[in-house]
Amino acid sequence: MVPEMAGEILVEKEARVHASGLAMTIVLISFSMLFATMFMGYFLFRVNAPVWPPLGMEKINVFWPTISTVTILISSLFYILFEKKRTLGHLYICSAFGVIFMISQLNLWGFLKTEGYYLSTGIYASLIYSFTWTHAAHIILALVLLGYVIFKVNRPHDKVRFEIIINSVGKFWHFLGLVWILMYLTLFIF
Amino acid sequence: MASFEQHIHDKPTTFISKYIFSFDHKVIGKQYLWYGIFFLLVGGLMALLIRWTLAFPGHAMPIVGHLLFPATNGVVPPDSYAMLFTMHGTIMIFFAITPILIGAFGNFCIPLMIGARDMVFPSLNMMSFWVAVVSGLLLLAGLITPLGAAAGGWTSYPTLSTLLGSPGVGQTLWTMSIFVLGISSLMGAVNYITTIIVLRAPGMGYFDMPLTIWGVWMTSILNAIFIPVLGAGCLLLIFDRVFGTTFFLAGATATQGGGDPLLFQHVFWIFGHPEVYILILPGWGIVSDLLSFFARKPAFGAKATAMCMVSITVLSTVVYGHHMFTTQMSPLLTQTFMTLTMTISIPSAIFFVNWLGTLWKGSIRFTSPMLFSIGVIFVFGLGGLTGLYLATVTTDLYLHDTYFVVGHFHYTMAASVLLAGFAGIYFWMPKMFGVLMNEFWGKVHFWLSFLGLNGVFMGMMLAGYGGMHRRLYDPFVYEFLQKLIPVNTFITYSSLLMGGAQVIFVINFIYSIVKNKKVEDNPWEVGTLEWTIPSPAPHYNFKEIPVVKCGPHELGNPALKDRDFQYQTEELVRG
Ligand SMILES: [Cu+2]
Repeated sequence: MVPEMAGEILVEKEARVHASGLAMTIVLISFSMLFATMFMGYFLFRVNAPVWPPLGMEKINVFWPTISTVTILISSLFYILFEKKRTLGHLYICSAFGVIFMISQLNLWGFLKTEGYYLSTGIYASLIYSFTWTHAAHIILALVLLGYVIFKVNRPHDKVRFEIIINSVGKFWHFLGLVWILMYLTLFIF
Repeated sequence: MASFEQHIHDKPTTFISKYIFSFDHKVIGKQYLWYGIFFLLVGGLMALLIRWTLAFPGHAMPIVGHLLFPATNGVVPPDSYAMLFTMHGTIMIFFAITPILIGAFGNFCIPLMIGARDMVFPSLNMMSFWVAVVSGLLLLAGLITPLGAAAGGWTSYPTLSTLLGSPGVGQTLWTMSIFVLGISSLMGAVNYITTIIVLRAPGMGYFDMPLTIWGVWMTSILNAIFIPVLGAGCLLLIFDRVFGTTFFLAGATATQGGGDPLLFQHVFWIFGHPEVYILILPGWGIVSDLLSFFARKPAFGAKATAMCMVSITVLSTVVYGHHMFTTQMSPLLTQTFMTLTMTISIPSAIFFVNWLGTLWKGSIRFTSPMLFSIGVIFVFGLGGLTGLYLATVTTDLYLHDTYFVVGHFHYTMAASVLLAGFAGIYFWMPKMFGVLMNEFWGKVHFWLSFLGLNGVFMGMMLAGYGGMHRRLYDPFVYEFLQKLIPVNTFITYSSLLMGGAQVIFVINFIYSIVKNKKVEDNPWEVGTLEWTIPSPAPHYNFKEIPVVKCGPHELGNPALKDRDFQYQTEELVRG
């Protein structure tokens, strides 16, 4: 019965990849609902405000958000290249740009402070802070996961597990990039 | 998507790997069961304190009163009263019903009923339980903070739940606890949905799944989509409370562009209405199966029942506005929400007809799980029908925030879910612990609970119709409500009866486990997959993954010779 056994294990591996892909999709649907709810709040505030930004507030400079957008896009791009070619270099560049994204966020918060926008200075600043903080919390989680992928690339014991990790982390990373772009367009540009 | 065979690992040997940090879905299911029963008792005791205060305002609660409230000579003080009803609601919904119906039955039944050896992600499953424990501790920690636990109602509307309404740490802990519980529920939901999709035994199509699994499946889908909505609301509430933002504060309390207290209500009910179905769907599934099993005939219109669950799941996402008719919503919106809500009656009615159709001309066995299941038909019927008055704008304007609402949602969520939960416990007791509970005391438990709960919730609807508002510490300071004192006393006595009946259950439950009188493998004579293996279910459930050849409700087939049911692993017998 040896050949049949081998066949079964192969099926199990395929099924595992499928199951994990499915699970990650459900997780991302959940995360999108979290951000969607926050966006809903944002639009309600914005629609109900007579002027936007609210009186006494000025639209903040888009320099750092733009830097963030460019870096996270480059980072996602290099992850796609890594997924295609499986070269470690692409993964390193992707992670490096992820870290630069985080630094640009820190700079954004520093800039907001110098401009006198604190978390509790009105709804405009509160929204920007709460969105970026929530997003950044996910980014930190994602950076840890990218570190884990780097760790795993060097020790690919279990091929199937490795596939699953690369796929899932990739989905999560692209998802966060997409959320950032939505934030960039709604919070900072328009 | 074909299913696959999971590896069998060795049995865990140490106490910790066996009972504490176990990967086994059966152990995790039981952990959830104990967790839920513990909180059920805590929440129930709180309910009795609330009832005592309403029936005998200013009188000390016997026995526990002096212990809990020494400063006021055993009388529940007003601030503690608000805390009690808040914690009662929160505990019952999130920490008793959710863990028992979804955590315990979901975990226990899914792999067994679909012919799998475990959940697809066992470690995620274990994490889900322990995160729920952390969440429970966070909630209970609120009770020992200086200003007490959360007291803004289970809905936690701002401004009651912001620093203005509740300055204590308790409300912050409440919000964090719900957020953490959301993470736990999400882990569970991901696991359940994926397991049901990828691990069904070969041959088991979606319509060959028992309806219990359909119920848990739909619940998990709603959980995965709507728990994060509440999560976002909690997150913003934590921002308001800890970092001084003003998302939910308007007017003079907010500076430089105010927030909006109503936003939280929207977010809460976008989650909150699906939550009602999250709680009831597993119960519906269990009852749909048990009615067929004990009427000894196939579930009437099983496919339609499953499709009704799906359509109710879908509809439940677009009706939340009926909770907010009194918030100056535009009439166009109220009418839309009213119509959409009414639409839910259609699948619900089909559901009911199917239940009655299952009973029709069955050779019914009145065992205790069956009694509880029939009880669910009655109480959910009442709960559902009274909901129509709350979904109708014109009547809701009068009934909103009265005890009518309290009676209604207790019929649907407390009574139905509780009875369905008990039905499940009595039914799967052999599979969980290898024993049967005492049938006689099970029936006594049913009748006393049933009388008690109808007294309580029917009484509440009467009181509400009479104009008594909910959340009043002492309604009888208002002269026009004094005529409702007898009704309230009646409700309280009924609640004592209902509470007392649960003592019978606890004794019966513990006694049968301790006595450990082994029962045969299939005491109920039912053909679903979990009954094809020994009771209690062995390590990794199925030595050989079963192959499914027929549906879950093949009972009373006249072509069957020596017994009146057939296992799902057997080819359908044709005459
Ligand atoms: Cu509702």
